[in-house]
Amino acid sequence: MRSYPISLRLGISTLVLGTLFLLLSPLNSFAIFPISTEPKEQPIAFSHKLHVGQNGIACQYCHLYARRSHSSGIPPVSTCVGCHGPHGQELVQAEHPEVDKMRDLWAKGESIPWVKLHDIPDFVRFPHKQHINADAARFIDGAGNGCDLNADPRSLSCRVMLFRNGGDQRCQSCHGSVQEMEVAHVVDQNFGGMGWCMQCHLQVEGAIERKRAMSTMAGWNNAKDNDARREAQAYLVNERNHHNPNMLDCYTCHY
Amino acid sequence: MKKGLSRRNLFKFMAIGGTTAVAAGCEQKPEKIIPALIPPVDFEYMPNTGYQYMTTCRECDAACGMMITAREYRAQKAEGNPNHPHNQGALCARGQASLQTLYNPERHARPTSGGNNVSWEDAQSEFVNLVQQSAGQIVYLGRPAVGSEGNFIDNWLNEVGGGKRIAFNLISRASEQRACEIAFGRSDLPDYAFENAELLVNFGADFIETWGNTVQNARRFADMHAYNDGKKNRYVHVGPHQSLSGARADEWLSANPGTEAMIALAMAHAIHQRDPRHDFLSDYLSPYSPELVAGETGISAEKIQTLAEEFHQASSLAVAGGTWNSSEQATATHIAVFILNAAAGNLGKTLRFHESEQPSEDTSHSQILQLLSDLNAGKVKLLIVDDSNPLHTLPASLGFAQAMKKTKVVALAAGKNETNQQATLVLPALTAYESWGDAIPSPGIFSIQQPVMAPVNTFDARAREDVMIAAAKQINPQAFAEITNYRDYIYERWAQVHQSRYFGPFENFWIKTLENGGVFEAPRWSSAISLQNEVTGVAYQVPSLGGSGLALIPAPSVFHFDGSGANKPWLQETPHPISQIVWDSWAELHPDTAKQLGIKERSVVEIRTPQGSLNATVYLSYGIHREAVAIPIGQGHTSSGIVADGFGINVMNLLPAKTDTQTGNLAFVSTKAEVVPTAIKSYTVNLDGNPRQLGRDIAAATTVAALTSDKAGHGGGHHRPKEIVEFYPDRSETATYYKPYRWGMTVDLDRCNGCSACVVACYAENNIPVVGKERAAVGREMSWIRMERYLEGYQDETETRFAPVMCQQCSNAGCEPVCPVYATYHNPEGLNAMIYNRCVGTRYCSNNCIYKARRYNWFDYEFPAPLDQQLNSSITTRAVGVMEKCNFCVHRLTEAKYAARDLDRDVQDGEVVTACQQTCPTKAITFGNLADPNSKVSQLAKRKPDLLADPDKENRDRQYEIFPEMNYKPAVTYLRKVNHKEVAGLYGNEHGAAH
Repeated sequence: MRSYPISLRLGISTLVLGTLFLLLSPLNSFAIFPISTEPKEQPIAFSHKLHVGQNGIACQYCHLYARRSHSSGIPPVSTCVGCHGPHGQELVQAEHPEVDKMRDLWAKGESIPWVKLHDIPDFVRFPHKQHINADAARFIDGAGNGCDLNADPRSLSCRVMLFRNGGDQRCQSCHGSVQEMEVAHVVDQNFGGMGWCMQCHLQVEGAIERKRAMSTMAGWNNAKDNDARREAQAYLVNERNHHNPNMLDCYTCHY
Repeated sequence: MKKGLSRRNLFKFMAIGGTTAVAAGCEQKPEKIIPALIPPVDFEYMPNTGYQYMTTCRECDAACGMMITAREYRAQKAEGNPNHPHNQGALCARGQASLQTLYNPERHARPTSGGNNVSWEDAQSEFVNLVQQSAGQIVYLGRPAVGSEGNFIDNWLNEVGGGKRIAFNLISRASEQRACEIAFGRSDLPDYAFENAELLVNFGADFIETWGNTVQNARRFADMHAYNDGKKNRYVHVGPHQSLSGARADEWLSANPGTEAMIALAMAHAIHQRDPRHDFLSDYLSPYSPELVAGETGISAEKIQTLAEEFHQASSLAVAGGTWNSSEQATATHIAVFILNAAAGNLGKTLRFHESEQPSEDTSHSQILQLLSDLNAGKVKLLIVDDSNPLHTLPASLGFAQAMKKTKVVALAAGKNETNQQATLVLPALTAYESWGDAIPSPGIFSIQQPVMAPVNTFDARAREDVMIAAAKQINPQAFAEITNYRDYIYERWAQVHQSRYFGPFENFWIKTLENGGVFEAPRWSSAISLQNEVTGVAYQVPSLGGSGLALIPAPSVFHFDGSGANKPWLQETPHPISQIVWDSWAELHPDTAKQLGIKERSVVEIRTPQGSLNATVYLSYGIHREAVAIPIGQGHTSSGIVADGFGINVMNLLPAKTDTQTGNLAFVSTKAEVVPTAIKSYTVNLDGNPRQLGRDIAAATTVAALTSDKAGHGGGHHRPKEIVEFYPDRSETATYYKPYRWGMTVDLDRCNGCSACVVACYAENNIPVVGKERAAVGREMSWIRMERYLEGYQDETETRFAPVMCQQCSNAGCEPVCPVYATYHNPEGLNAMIYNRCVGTRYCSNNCIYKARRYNWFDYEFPAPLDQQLNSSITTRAVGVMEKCNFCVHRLTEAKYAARDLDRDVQDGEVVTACQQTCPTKAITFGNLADPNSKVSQLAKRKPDLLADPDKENRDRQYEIFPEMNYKPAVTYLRKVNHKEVAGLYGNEHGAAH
């Protein structure tokens, strides 16, 4: 009988067992699936390009909870009616078939059943509020430099740059150039993946130091380095002597 | 550096393998997001944000203030209203579980007539017809009114042509109230100032379980009894059954059943001899000298003499109440205790009355007995029942079931129970969470009950009072003029409160009331309280118990109350603090009695009285009189829903129809029962493992003497090694850890009563599934915090100790290094983080946890609708294959850190409160930042440095940690329970069998 080296045998059996195991583990399925970046058919052909790009409506005019809550919020139908007007009192786009769909629903007292695009798994807590209100000065020097929006708008440097610029551009750092989308879609295959989130978070001042010192063993080994300089780096005490949040701890988002 | 397959790469490969295999079949369906039609104005709503609304808990008559957290317009967590002076932010286990009254899948879903679904219009017109046909002969049978609802129903009955309202509650204080009338000429109940007493003698009141406002009682008792700066007051429990309230006693006098009054009178006699205050008592007390009663009561004369002396000298308080005082002599027992208080000069000091007299609702059971005879005589044409349940709670021998058949029954009730199942017409009512109401539990305390959410959408229910108002208007168009619904009625009633006390417009007052949860005034005490000589007219006789065998004591349960708690999964799943039994009833027997009768622990016995017989599993306990058997009230349902039906037995069916001679209140201690062993196999699930600590000192104690003297006491249990050798420096010395937070907790075991409100609060806060009896039997219960109960000593010297144990968030945790996937690790803030999405379910961590704090999801547990609406939406609900455990309410920590960040500062002490700490009536749990030396938790956890080094002096310090010899360095510090004396067998002879 042919005998295979022990390492190969072990490796193969682990792979087989591991595959079986993963098949049975529903939680693991998310992160390893790329998210579809295809536009999805929506009940109303709402154009972000028209509303945001051409008419210059700010993101948070409609997504009104973004700076106040975990969710950014999908605009209530009354926001649409506010400009377009209901049947009988049509204002903007009095005779547009897509807008009429909305007016029909409004007349019936029904809401619009939008299809969800940006769907992060239930074990992640993403607070929009903390990101909209975040202090852009906390990025390390040079983060976001070298961005070329024309060549690679989804590169890390461009995302950080957009975030630093603030305003509606901060929304674009994750959601892409919504102002150019006829039909909204996810722009990044990795959207919501943890590595994708961490790319930016490691650009925050002190994060790399913190990461290096975070693992249990490293924490112990580095005990001797416990001087004021190191602590100031890792803890990023702000100018008012208060501690900046730790964004590398798993418990920050997963609980 | 490394060759071959590193661990990390192995997992990567495994992940890729998994991907290719499943990629084809796992396309998720796109989810819909439905926005609001019109947004709520002024940001009264924000997604994922909790809003607090003040209301009133209506699970029992105590009517505590409640603060409900609602997210997405759904009530998700009940907490006490911090403004309410009675419960001061705390709630009991039943109050925590009131959410399961709201979301109970067994609620009446739609109106039914004769068992068939009908529309509300048809049901309403049928109701109107029934009321019209039976005008003048209507009986409204409901729970006792604490607020305006009693008045409202009386008004309603007047409007629809007359009728009678009967307030029914199995656990009634009518005898106590009657005793107040006789002894003090008062029509209300007294206020017992536990906190002012130095000696509490309790003649059987179950003040932690059901008697009065248990949350308030527990707090006041802890304030009195807890060790404070070298001083600890005493608590003596007199009665045949210890139960939970007696478990905290420093001394337990196991009096013969029904004879508590004699001991009270004998003590009064002894005091009267020395200090004759009330002349008219001389003759009354003369037959009760301690020597004369010693034989009858089973308590020696010396004991009574010394206790009386202590009672006289100290600032003292004697209380009575509860079911095992409720014999035929219940009123006489209360009067005896009032005489004792009067003789010791406690009136106006520890036993006091409000200045204004607010008559209590008459809850005497004589009314229901009258109703029974009226029903049998055909004098009642229509019986309207709400959520009270006389059919289940009254002894079957009374024949309520047969009597009910002689009339038409309409149920205006939220939940299903035995009584309203008999109704021909069922009108689903709303719960207290969804409707208006109010409560005035004592003078000057006006508590408002407002709807905290829209009615649960799965039930087509209407507010009880609104249904009644609509019916009254159909019958009599002039009825309730200017009122369209019950809210208007409450408005009118509160306008009177406003007029008599406040200036300014009503609208401002009303908004303020809703914000505060009511109007709370400081109590004013009456100075003119004296014992009246009418008391001599009440002759006490030792109650005669019929039948033969052991005295049967139906014991009140801290969870099930009169039985209304049994259909709430959390209350069934939480182990009873004394017996640690779940989903069941049991028969509590003294081990000596069991030996005599040839009964083994956890065997099934038959309990026989002349009224019937029932089978129950035996639980042996030294906390019961040798001539008695105790069975908890509240189980044995037949049609209250799947959670209640078929679990345990209904002890009330064993009782004869005897009543208190003075009030007609049902006598609970009224019969003896034969206890006969059977050959049936028991299936009772008991989660306590070993009731003995075997010297492990999990729930440790010390004595007042050891804490105050310089003499080195003996530290109990295993010690921390004298010299601690560490391979690695402490985490606090590293750059990454514990800056600026290290979360920690202290648990003061001298304040813990074992009431288990924390356990239920944790279920509610953390989406913990209920696993049921079968799974609990194989150790798969999911509670993140458990109430450990340990026994010390034997026979009459037995001491019961409680210790709530949750994840100890160790610094040298056993769980962390064994996790192969880094799903649990030490977080920079000192938590043993548990990352569900990393967990692959090896369960190594659980095996390596010395505190057994980890729980594994063996299944995808169900939250049957609409219970799923209660799930806390700010945390993950765990799926199958994932380990979980206490995380110090990390979502509350995160929210607090976000809030502090918005203010550009760090989280301050007291800003984060965990769910268990929040609900603790005695404030035994303290939580905070150990890295801040000034925080309350740091102060409490601090040890005296000179004592820390010397294990022999260990118990001169109250602080200890569980299993110090393992050097896991937990972040939870316990404070020892403080005893007055060393308990025999505290240490050394513990390594034996349980009993």
